[in-house]
Amino acid sequence: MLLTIERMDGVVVATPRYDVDAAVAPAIREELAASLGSEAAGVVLNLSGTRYVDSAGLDMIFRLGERLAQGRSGLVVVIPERSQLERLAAIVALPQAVSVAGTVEEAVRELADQLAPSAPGAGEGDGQAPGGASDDVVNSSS
Amino acid sequence: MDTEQFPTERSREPRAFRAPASASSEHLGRVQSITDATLGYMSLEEMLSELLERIRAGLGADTAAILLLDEDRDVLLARAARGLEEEVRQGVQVPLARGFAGRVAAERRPIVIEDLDHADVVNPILRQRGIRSMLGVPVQVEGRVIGVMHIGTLHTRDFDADDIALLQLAADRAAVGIDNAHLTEQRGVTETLQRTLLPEALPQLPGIALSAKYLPAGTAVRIGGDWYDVFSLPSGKVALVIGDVVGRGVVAATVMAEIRTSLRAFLLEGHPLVQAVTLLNDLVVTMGRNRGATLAVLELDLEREELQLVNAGHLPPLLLRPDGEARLLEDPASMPIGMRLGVRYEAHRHPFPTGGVLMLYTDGLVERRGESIEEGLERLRSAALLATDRDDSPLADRVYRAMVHTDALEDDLALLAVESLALGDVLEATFPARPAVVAGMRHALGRWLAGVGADEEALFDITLSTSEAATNAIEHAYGLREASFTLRCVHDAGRVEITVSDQGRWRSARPPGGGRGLEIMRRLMGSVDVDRSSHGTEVRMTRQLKDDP
Repeated sequence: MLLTIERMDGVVVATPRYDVDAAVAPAIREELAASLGSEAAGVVLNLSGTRYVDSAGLDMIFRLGERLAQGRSGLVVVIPERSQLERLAAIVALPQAVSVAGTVEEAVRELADQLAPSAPGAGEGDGQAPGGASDDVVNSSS
Repeated sequence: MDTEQFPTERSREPRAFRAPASASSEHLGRVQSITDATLGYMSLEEMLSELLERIRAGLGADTAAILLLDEDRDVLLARAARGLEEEVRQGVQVPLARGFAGRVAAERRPIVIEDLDHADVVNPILRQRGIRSMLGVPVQVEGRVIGVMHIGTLHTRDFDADDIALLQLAADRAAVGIDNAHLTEQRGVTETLQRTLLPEALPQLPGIALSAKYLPAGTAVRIGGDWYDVFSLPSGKVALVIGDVVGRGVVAATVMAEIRTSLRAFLLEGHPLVQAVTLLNDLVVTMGRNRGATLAVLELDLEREELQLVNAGHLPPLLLRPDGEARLLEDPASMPIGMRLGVRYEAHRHPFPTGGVLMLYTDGLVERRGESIEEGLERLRSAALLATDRDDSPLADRVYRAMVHTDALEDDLALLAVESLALGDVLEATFPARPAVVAGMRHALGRWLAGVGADEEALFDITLSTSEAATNAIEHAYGLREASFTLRCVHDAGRVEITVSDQGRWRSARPPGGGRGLEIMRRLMGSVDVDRSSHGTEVRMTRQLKDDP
């Protein structure tokens, strides 16, 4: 119950309800693993409503990214631009290890591009699509 | 020697002169052997065994036994025996109203069987042992049959009225002992229940003062169906619960314990208020306890100075604002829980400013005979306003004293008072070394930082760094019992100094957060000093706040 799970375009969008810290990071990892099941389409970890992510939470995200990259899947973390979390992510070099997007829509699209074999490569952490276009992605998915 | 013979002669003399009195003296001796006070000092087992032996010897019987009624199954169970010990070992059971003992219990009167061959007897041991005649009397407590005492002889015997009276006396003596033992056992159970069911000590949370009063109704069984609960949520907010299970006594208390624990579990799992109460309602209904409960659940967000309330048919919480206004939080109330499935509950938001006081209570506090509930609530309002002006004892005590005059409560009573305190330039708090407390610590710290003028960036940096230091301290405490860590925050001239100290051992082998924790602290704070000693670890961090524009 620490995550809200939604599915968009075959992608799992997981939104933590609370801060991602040492107290809940292990449980969040388990909840996420349980919601993924055998389908490994890709995961969007939506931190747009999250206030704090501590070092244990960051660790969990780094490892999740590694694991999903190994099995033909991917992880995109949503961190709003110019947020405190974006500053923190830069300090620990998160965007160098895991894809980061500014909105859920961008993240879903980026994941779709990543997983499509012939798609033009979406660079790490460069999801800069205009807001209008990303709204369409969400609307068409529902 | 004259002196030696004297006593013998005296004891013999009355016999010679008054023959009838000797029978009566013998009878008196037997009566005394049964009413003997020392029986009262024995354990129940010893007492029953001793009593049976004395009655057997006193009445010249070959066997004596006592069977006790198992009220749930309507059978008599052999509890103690003399001359018939195997009856107890084999766990003989006699159904009520059947056989010899069953009839004595059902008919509540002495029964004599002169010849066992011509009687309906359930217990096979009696025949096997060659018992011929039997006398049985009911064992009663306050007119209620709790068992049967019987004696048997190997030869045919006609029991007379004196025999019956003496056996009845023994049965009455046994009844007192059994009843006392039951009461003692019940008291033990009740005391254990009470210890387990009563609320734990209130948590220490920085920035709020909690006080509570809990009084079960009556004097005998000191447990009831009212409860309150306070705990930190995974969000770092504080959950407050007040509730009242219909009825009182042990059953109400056990249902209360189920509800209290289930609600706590749902909330600690991370369910939002409305969802947690809905799950609780469905659980209580499906468990079929047939007991409703009213309850109010609140979620305090001290940082935002607001609260969320879900009220399931409970009396409205009272909010005293810092300006002295007292207001009942009367949202449209939902149905009590446990009535039917599918009830919709709603959460309502209310401001809870610093300096505010919240009173959660059960009807035992405000209801008085011959008074309307409105009058009771009005009394609470004035009592609460008066009580907040003084500070000689915990607030809940003061409100209780102002409200309740009578000694014997007609109903259970629970009262929880929550005061939101202003935080000064220094914030100091001790937390149990558990990961779950860190979210609550961030809330308290966030509130303090906002108070000393930290902007959004400083608030984030200081709070996250302190969080890392606290997680560190909790890791140090690993394996220690009842460990805690202390947070001290000082604001002085635009500079914030945070100290997190613990008593645990420094575990250098495994840096927390993969070593990232310390790096984060160093990058976000102005200075970070870690002092490791054999007594524990102290992390001191400073950060300059931006000047006000």
